[in-house]
Amino acid sequence: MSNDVFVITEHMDGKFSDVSFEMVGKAKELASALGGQAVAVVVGGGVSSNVFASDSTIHVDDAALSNFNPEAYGKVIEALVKEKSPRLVMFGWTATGMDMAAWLSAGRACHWRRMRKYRRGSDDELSGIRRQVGSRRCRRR
Amino acid sequence: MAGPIKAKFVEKEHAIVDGVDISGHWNRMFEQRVITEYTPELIEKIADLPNAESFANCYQCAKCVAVCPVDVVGNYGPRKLYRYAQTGMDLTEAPELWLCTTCANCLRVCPKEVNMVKIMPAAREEAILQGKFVPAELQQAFENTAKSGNPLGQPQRKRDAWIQSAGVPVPIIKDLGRKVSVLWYVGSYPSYHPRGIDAAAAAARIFNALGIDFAILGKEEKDDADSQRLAGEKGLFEMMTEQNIETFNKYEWDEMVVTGPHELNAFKNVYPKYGFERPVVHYSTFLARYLDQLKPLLKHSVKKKITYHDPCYLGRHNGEYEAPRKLLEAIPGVELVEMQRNRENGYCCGGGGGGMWMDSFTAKHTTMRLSEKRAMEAASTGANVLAVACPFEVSRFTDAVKSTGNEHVDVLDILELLDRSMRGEQ
Amino acid sequence: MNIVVAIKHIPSIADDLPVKGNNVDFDSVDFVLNECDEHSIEQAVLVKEAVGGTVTVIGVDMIGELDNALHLALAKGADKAVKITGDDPAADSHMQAKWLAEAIKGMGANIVFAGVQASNDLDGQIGPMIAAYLDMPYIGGVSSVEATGDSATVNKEFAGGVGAKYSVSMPLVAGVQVCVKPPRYAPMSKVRQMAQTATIEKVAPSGDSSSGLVFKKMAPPVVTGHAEMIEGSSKEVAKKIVELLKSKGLA
Repeated sequence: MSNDVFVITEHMDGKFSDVSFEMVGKAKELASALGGQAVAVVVGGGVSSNVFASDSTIHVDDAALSNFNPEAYGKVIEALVKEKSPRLVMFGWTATGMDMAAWLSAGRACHWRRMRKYRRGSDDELSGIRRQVGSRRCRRR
Repeated sequence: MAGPIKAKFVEKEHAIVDGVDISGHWNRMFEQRVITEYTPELIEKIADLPNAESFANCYQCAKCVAVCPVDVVGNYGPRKLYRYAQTGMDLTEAPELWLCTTCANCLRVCPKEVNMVKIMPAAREEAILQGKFVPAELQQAFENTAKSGNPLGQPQRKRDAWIQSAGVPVPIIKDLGRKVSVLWYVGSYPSYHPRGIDAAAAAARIFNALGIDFAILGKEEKDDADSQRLAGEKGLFEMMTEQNIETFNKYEWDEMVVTGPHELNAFKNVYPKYGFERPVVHYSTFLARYLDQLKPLLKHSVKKKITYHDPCYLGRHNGEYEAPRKLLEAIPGVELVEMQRNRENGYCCGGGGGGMWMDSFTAKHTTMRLSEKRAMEAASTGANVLAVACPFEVSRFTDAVKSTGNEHVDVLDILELLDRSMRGEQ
Repeated sequence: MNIVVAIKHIPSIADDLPVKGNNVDFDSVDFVLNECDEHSIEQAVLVKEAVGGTVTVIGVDMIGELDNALHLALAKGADKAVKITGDDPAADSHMQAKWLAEAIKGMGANIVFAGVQASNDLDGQIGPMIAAYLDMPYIGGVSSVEATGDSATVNKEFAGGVGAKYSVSMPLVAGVQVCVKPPRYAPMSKVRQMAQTATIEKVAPSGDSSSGLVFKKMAPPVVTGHAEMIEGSSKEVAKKIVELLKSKGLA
C-alpha cells in the first residue's frame, strides 16, 4: 500500500464541482502527514483536467466516459485503486460519489464512511466526525 | 365537478299509480309536460354504502345550505352534493368529499334526516379503500396516529411530559395502584401542543384545588381517533378503540373526565358499540357540578369581555351548552357576550371531521378558513377574549385572530380562565 | 417482473436521540421504516402495476419489530414479505447489506430497489453494496423507473436540480431517492387484515461483513446558533424585520 491519497473528482458539462477542489485541499493535508502524494483522479472524456493543485493528476480520458455512468466509472476506479493501492480514496458525498464509494468498498475491502471533518490518527487510523441520526442540520455541504 | 351530465329529456304522458291514471291539471306534478330526468347511479353509489343510506332522502329544499358553515366561506352545501351527483359528480372522487366538518348543523334543520355525519365517513372510507385521492396532510395525520398513537406524530413516551409544567401533583393511575374516582383522559393536543399543555396544566391545578381524587393514564394514553373515523379511517379508529378500551378497563375508576369534546363523543357515543359503556363527561359538565366549591377559589377578578364559542361536538353533538357558560359567569369581573351564531346554531371552527388536518387542502376550496370567519364574528362582539372548550380550537383560533388582524382578542380555554382567576395573572 | 425491495428499520428521529456509550441507546428509541424505503416500496408497486410481476419486501429485523413495516408494505401492494432475523440493533450497513444480498441471491430478481439512503447514518451503502455482492449494476438518486423488456429507463437526480435519464440492463439495483408519486396510503383495515392473514418468511442471517470502523464517540450535535423570535404585532414585527435587513445591508 502506498501513502497516497486519491481524490475522485466530479465534473459535469466540463466543470468540476466545488467538493472536488475541497477534497484536494484536504487530501494534500492528509498526504503530507502520511508522507504520500495527493492525487486528483479525473475520469471522463473531453474534460480539461489540469485544474487541481494536487501533487499529481491521473486522467482516464476516453470519449465513452464523457458522462457519468456509475458502472463504467466504478470499474475504471476499481482497476486504478487495485493497481495504485492508495492509503485513502476520497469521494464526494454526492449523487455520483454515493453511487460508487460503497460499491467499491463492498467488493474491495476498503471502507466507506461519510465524514464531515476528519483528521489523521496514529498509523493506520483515520478518524472522522460524522453526523449520526438526530441531526438534520448538516445534510449536505 | 367531473363526468358527463346524465340528463335526458322525456315527455311524461301519464302517471299511473296502482292502476289509476292520476294525470291532470289538478295534480300538476303529473300533468303532461316535458321534464328532465336524471340517472340516479351516482346518488345510489353513495346511498348504497352502509350508513350512507340517507343521502338518497334529499329532496332539495336547501335548508341545510343556509346553515352550512362551509357554504358561508365557499360554495358548498349538503343539498348541492345531491344535485352534483345527479349531474355527474362522483362524490368519492370530488374535492367536496373532504370539505364537510361533520358539524351537524345541517342535520339539525333537515326535514328528511339526511345525515352527513354518517354519510361523509362512509363515502370517505370508500374513497380511501379504493385508493382514491386523500389529502396528503390527512394521510400524515392517519400515519402519525397509527405509528405514534397521536395525530401530531409525537413520541408516546413523552405523552405525560407536560405534567412538569403543572406545578401540582398529577398522579398516573398505574403508579397509584388503587381505584380513583376520576380517570382524567387528557387527550393528544393537551398532552403535546404547547397551547394545549397550558389548558392541561390549568386543569391539573383546578382538580388539585378542588381536592378531586383523580389520575391520568400517562404513557398508556392514546388518541381517541374519532376525528380520524369521521375522516374515513374506520379501521384505524377500530384499532385505537380496541387498545383504548383495554387500557381503560385495566384500572378501577368511577367516572372518566375528558378535556376534549371529540373524546367525549368517541367514548360516550361510539365506544358503546365496541362494548365500552362507562360514565364519561366533558370537563365543563364535570366542573359545573363543583360550582359551589369552585366559586370561593376564584379570588382574582378577570376584567374581560368574553365571548364563548360552542364546540360542535360539545354542543350540537352532545347537548352541553350551559355548563361552559356557567363556569365563565362564575369568574368575577367577566362580562359574557354572545356571538350571533351560538348554541344550537353555533358556527364551526373547521377542525371537526378531520378538518383539523386538512387546512391547506380546504384553503384551496374556500374563500377563508372557518376559524377566520368565526374569529371575525368573535371580534365583532367587542369581546377581548374568545373562550373555547375544545383542544382543537385554541391553536386554530390563535392563528385565526392573527391572520384576520384581531390580535387584541385573546384565545383562551375556559380552564385557563378559571386558573387565572384562581391564581391571578402570572 | 420479479421485483425485490430491500428495506431498513431505523431508530426514529421524532424524539431526541438517546446516546449510550458510543452508540444510540437502542433500548429507549422506537424503530421506524426509513423514509426513502417508503418511496422505494411505492416505486416497486408502480412498476408491478405497469408491467405485472411480484414484489417481495425484505429487511433485517433489528429489534424484533419489523413485522409492522412488512404488513404495511403488503397492504400497499407487495406480494411477499421476508425478514432476516438479525436481532442486532447495532448491525451496520455493511453487515445488513451482506445479509440482504445473501438472502436476495436466490430470488431471481430483475430489479432490486433500496432507499438511496437512510436517515440514521445517511451513508447510502445498502443499495450499492447489494449490487456489488450480487454483481449487478447500481444506480442511485433515482426518481422514476420504467421497466421495458430486459432493461429499465431510470431518472437519476444530481445536485442543483439536474436530472439525467439512464437506460440500465437488468438485473439491476436502484437506490430510490423519491418515487414519481407520493407513497400511497394503506387503510388500517387492510394493514390489520395483512397482520392477521399474511405469512412472513423468516431467513437466518448468512455471511459476514464489517465496515472496519469503530465508533469512538457519539454525542448530540453542538448547538451553534439560535433563531431569534421577533415579538409584537404584525406591524411591529414587519418594522423590526426591515430594520434587521437594513442593518445587514440587504435592504
